[in-house]
Amino acid sequence: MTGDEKAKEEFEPKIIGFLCNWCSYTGADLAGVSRLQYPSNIRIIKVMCSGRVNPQFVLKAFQEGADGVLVSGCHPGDCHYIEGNYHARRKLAMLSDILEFTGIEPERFQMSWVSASEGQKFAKIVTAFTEQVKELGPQKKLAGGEDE
Amino acid sequence: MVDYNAMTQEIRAKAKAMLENKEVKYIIGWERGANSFISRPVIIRDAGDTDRLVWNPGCVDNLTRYLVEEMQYKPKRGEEPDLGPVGIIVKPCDSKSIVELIKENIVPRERVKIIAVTNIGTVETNKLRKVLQKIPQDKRAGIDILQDDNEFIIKYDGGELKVPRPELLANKCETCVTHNPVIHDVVIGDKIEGFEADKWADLAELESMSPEERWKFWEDQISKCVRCYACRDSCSLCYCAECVFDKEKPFTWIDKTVDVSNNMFYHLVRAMHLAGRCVDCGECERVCPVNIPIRKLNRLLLKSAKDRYKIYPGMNPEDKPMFGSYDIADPDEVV
Amino acid sequence: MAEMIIKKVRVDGLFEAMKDFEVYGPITKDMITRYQKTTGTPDLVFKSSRKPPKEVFFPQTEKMFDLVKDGTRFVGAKDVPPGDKPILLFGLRPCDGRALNVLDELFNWDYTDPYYVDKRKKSTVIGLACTLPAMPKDNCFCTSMGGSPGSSEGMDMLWVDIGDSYYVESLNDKGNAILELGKGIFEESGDDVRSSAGKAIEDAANAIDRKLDTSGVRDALAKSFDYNYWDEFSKRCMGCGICTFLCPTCHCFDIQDIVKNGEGVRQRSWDSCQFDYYSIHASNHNPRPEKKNRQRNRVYHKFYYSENKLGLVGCVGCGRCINLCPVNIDIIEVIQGAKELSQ
Repeated sequence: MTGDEKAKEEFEPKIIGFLCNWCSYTGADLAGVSRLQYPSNIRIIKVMCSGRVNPQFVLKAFQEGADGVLVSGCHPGDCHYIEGNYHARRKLAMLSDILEFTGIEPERFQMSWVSASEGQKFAKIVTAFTEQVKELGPQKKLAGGEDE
Repeated sequence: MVDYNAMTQEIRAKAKAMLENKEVKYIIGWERGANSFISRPVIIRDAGDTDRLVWNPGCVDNLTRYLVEEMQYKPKRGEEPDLGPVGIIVKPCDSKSIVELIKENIVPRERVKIIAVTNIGTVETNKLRKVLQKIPQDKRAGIDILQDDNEFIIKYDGGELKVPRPELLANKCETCVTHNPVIHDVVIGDKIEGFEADKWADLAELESMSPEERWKFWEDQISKCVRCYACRDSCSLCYCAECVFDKEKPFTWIDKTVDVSNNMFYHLVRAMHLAGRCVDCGECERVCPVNIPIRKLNRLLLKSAKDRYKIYPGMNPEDKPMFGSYDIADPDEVV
Repeated sequence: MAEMIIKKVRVDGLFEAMKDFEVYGPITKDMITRYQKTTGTPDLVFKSSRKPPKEVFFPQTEKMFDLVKDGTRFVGAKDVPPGDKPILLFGLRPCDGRALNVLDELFNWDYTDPYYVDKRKKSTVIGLACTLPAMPKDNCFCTSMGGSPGSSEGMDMLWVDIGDSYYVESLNDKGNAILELGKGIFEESGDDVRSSAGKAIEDAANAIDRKLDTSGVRDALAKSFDYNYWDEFSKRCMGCGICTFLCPTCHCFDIQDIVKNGEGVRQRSWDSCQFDYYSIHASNHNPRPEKKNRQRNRVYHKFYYSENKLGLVGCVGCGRCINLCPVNIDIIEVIQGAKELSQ
């Protein structure tokens, strides 16, 4: 195993998850009480609605050194506040466009719909996303180099 | 050939009439800059001063930021609020800013009297600096910039210099789709027709690059930034009373550190705050002292908004703002 | 004071010999010149820089010290050892050299600033006189502010372009050390060389077309503080920081403690009196609430307070603030206007 591969193997990404209070957070909770296994790389921040997630939060997470950011909310049509996730969808789609345009891997940022009963799906999404971010390696573009 | 002289006369006459009839408190317009080759903003309160107003391809400022200032003015203690209308002279691109400001309830329509000009293009300050090197220094005072369909004509003391349009035309004008004002009380100048639709040609080169090349490009550009915040301050749509980048309570969003990480955060957040609102007036890029192509970020979002949601800001005050509305049928490409 | 010449083709050789220095010099990229660290030969033909050379000694962001951690709390400070390499700043324009004088005076004023002074002490400054055709630029007015395209204030050595070679004047021991280092590269000079250098400088000085009569400026400003005039011209100010950040003598900074990934540093970054957050108090009271107050402060600082405090005028006439102001606030015009009004 070369040094690079080893570093990749050992690299544990930091992932920030913004989950909405009503669906995704409860979904994550369900994954927990159901004792489903998923990587512990995700640090969850509960927000009342995915519509609360300002693109600035995502960028700030990246800037503070997150390797990946996951935003999750209720399925379209199921929002506790009727329309919050529709707003989130517009905002975050634009964000992923600009990330791509500036050369920051848009794969580091993901949005998903997870309902309160989808503990399974949540565990699956987190596992897949963690793998995806692990593959990309540490995020240094927005976080700044190590020597700074 | 556009008759700038006649248009200037007409602007002066209209402004004078407005001030004399007390229709407006004052007029925001352009005047000749002292020792400058481009024009500069001026506020005219007295009908006798209207002769200072000018209109030429050097009138580069988007004056609507002064309109926002007026609307947000907080009267001092004991001062009666004066809610009378103000007059403003706008280019077609600037008129889109007014549309957006009306849409966002910053400017009530009845508080502004819009004198709009039609325009085929203004000059780029950076390009002008270069072109002016061809004119002897002692003859540069009192130059006049004119243009027709194919070239700019710089008249100076004892001669004139003809410059092909692309060599002096502002970058924003190359992709402009609004050569006629979208909102106005008075229009000055002939209607302009026959301009091509925006093909986003300026973005194509970057979009064809690989992500790593794109990051390299932006890293290079953004590392030049000195964070003077001129791009924010010049923008008529950046009107927050307390900007997120200034805010220190309850915590700071951004350090004063000037490095790629903080600069990039600033530029991305700034662009996101203008997504679906930016009307591509080009002020941010014009004022940048270190020539960062800031407009490209805004244009990318403008293009995305158009492609994804069929939204193009600044055309109609009745439109819904992009982030203030949604459509159930919006593309759903998330997991 | 030793006088020599150096052939243009041999400049590369000199930089080869100066390998022990940390060399900062003008580098032009995308039409913008900045003084940056370089390992090769910097540009020799350039307009004056966009970002002033003060960033070499007073970087826009500078680490002051590391915070020492005990468990989860920060309990102390650990100094950052200064670099031990000597600094060479090459290609300083005369106006920027005079600006260094102002900064030297300020950072040694009531308190000696260790960060600036340390870098300045171990630096050698080689100036490059402004000669045609690269200089002067639009809106240069150094001759009105007591400078000249050939001024050697603030420098250790001055080079003047005389066609195929540079006329080199060493001004002190630091300059002599460079002459010593470049032995064999520098050649003997003569009277004719000195006179042609003088001629080149004179030509450049004659090409400066902007003038400011500084006599009576202090009296005028003393009288005009409360005039409505300040409000009038600053109405068009946007409140950005271009005029201050790109000024070679502006020196305000803000100190912040930055904690990132568990590590803490204290650092200082440039700040600008044109921002409304610059002067705001904890009580939310702002002594300079409006743009007129802030613009007035800038003008007074340069032309009034600075002289009271340091004995030097805070403006060197480099013209950067005039060239780059997006709304054409022209300091020459502003001062002239204040003078006319107060008469």
